[in-house]
Amino acid sequence: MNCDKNLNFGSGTANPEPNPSRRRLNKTIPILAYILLNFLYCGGSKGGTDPLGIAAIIASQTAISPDPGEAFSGGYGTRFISNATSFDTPVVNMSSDGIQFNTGNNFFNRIWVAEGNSASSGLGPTFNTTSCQNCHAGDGRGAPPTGGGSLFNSVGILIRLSKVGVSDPTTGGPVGLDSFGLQLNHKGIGCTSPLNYDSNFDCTGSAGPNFTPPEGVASVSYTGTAIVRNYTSGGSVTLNPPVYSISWNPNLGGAPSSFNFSPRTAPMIPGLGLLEAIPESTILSWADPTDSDLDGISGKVNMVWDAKNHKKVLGRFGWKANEPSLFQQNQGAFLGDIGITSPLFSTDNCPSSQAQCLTTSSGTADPEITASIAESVNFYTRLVAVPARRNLSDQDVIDGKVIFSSIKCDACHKSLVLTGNVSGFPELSYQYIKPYTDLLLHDMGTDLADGRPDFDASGQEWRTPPLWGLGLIQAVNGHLKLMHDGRANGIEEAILWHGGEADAARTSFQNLSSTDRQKLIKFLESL
Amino acid sequence: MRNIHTKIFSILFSMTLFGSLISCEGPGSDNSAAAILGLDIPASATKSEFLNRYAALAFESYTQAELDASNLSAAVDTFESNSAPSETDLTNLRNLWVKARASYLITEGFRFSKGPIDEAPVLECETGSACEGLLNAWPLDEDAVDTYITSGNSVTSFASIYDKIGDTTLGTEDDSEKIVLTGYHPIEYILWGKDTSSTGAGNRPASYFNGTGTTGHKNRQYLKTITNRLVVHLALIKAQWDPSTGAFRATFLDPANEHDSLEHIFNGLGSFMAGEWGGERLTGVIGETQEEEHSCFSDTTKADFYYDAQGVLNIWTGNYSIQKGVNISSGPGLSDILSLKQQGGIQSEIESSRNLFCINLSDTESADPNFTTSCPAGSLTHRFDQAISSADSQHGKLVNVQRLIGSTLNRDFVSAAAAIGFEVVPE
Repeated sequence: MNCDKNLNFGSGTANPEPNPSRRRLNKTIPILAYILLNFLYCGGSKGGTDPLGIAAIIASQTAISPDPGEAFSGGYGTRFISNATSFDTPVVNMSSDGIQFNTGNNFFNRIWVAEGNSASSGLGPTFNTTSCQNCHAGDGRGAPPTGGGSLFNSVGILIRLSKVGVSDPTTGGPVGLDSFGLQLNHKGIGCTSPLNYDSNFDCTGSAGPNFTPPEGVASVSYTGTAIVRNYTSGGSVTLNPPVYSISWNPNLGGAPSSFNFSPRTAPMIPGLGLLEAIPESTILSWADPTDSDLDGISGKVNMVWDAKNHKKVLGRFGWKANEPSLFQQNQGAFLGDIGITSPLFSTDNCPSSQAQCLTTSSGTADPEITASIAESVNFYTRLVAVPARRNLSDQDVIDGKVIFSSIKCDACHKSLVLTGNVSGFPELSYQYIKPYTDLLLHDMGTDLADGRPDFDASGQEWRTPPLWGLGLIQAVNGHLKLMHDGRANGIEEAILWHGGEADAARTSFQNLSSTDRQKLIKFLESL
Repeated sequence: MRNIHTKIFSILFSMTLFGSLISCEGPGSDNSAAAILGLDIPASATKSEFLNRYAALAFESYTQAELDASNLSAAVDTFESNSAPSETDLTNLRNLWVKARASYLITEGFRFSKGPIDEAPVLECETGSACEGLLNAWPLDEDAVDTYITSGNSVTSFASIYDKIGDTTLGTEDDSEKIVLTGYHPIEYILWGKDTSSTGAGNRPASYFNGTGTTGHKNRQYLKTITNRLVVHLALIKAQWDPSTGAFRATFLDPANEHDSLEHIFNGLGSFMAGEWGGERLTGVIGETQEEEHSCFSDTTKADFYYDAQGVLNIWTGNYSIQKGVNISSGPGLSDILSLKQQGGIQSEIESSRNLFCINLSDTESADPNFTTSCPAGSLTHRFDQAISSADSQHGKLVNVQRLIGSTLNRDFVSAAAAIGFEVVPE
């Protein structure tokens, strides 16, 4: 390896856009210093200070790197790949050697086996699936079953549960059902297929030694009262609302007398570290909970519980912005979805009435993953790259972006954001990103409502989801089921599902000419 | 069986980019005189010559793996017919497993290369199943194996066992591939049992196999059935590489496919380095739990790493070697289609990655006939399942080798591929 190859690397066919390192070289003093330091470093001792660290310090003290351009949705870390692996690559500007990323990736993909086994053990006693990537396939989006049906084998979607009209006095968060907790675990170790249960959810086959009954099974059908959205220029689209039903395990008390529930699909992974790097002050500057500017858009922060620091903080992850950090989100998912205990959530997910769950939860010592594993997965989820935009010079795409702004989609879907300083992560610091989100809660109307409050989010409020990568979901995941529960079939339906604060924007969309609607969609597909 | 390989090459790509910024070592040390003089030495073999050697090496490697598995299988047959096997009988099987495992691990460098080992479109060892998962799937759900044996299932036919793969009444998995009931690891589990020791391997007593018409009898029958089938599966893979009849070999060596065959090899070896050998199998260094190791029942994980490295080295050099320093056969390796400068430090990096894992009698708990020399200076002398803990004084060696394989070697390997026009891309 020769240092003089550096500036040519990255200009291969995988990166059709101009080489970012060349562009930086031409434009900025900090980057010049960065390159210079690398050359100096090559001639000197290897035991010296990390030059990238120095570069980060220079960047933080002197200037902020310029916006690298329209295509770079995830700043300088943006990856120019548009195929099935588009959501599954590390940032281009990785400052470490990648080992921790690779390790985190391995644990993200790891298939866990039941508590009590020798290696990779800790699954369950109840769970939804056996690995992170089962739901986040290719680091992409989950979806409900095509055309509806049981969620048992559609692990990209799960059901959150909570008591009605109650919130936790300490955390302010939802309270789990006495017998079923905060989410419906479709599976239990030892006997997992509903085909092998009798009507009482007893295992009818040969139950394994650690048999734990599942909590129930949900299914979805699209039989709600159809919603017709008409276009001014003619034509219409019919939206089919989902209807959910749950079969509760009678051995655990059967159906609760009342409960709130919310179906949630698995969101995509790219760019999470960049979203975490958006300064709180930036998010707060967008908030307008009382709509004081009278533009019809409020935007509210969800203050949620930080389980590590025991205080309420700004939430930014999850469909209702109900998780404050990737650290908590990831370990929460390990516990809730896979049944794996971690340093942050070190007690198995067994409601007190689930006797078998409690008995079998001692099969593997808790916490089942170490702080090192949790940290590697955290590192991984921070540094998965956002894919670059495509077809930027297509006139329809250019027009579509203007339309996006003119009908005020960008009131919530913020198109340009500067990240703050993230200690130890120059890749995430001071990056101009194009996430198309404000991370705030918005009232999205009754059609989309789940009726399940989550901290400060009401049953009608949802967090603006990021739109970066939208146009590659089909390539990665083979579907384009959008919104929180995957009810929308494609971008057009997703726009038409918008209600509440988004009524005006949606109505404007309905008033566009067919040509302009297609241009807007082409723009969104370029993200 | 695993889903970890999709992004490997973009990782490599970025590591190469930034690795090149922060690392400036010169060409490999093996030709240091030429390197010092700034000389380059041109490639010594054509691509076609290398591909022919690769095919021959694959055939030879799988032939040895099948032979060693056959020896194990024959001993298991005898063991199965004995209603009161002794501890000595059991130890004999364990030793034969270790040997069979070694020669299989050496074949792992052929994985991920769109060949017969793990590509169902090329070869299905059982209907609907690619071979590798049937041979080497991991992690093992021990309860599933125990439940299969004890719950009245027939263990006399392989078909009945194969039918149960994906049968969730046995295990905890919803992935049909993941009820692991066949291959090296279930055999290992049957022979050693669960490792509950903090200082040693699993210690299954011979009495586990005692009796006629008992569970002990079923244990022997199960062992026999899956070990017999291991040999059948290896023979199927070997046949694809047979110089006279191998269907895959013919396609692989068709001059029209030369570029594709080479590209698959580069992608496969790179995937194996970053994703498997230096990736998945070394995650225990971060996880730090004692059984977070590939061969956790027998505690022969050091041998896994050693022979995996040897397998990669064999492809690189063109020499078929099991015992260190003894070449059973030779020919042009992958390195020979690259000039000296293009080769970089790859050979010494592979050798360093191998040599760290000194294996010896006490660590393999076997009279492993292939490698019994003393440990080279600087090698990992502690047990793998001890060094996996960050509290162990040799833990840093594992961290370093993980970096050497998964980062440095991969970066250099991707560069070498790029130097002769092969862009290593995500699969």
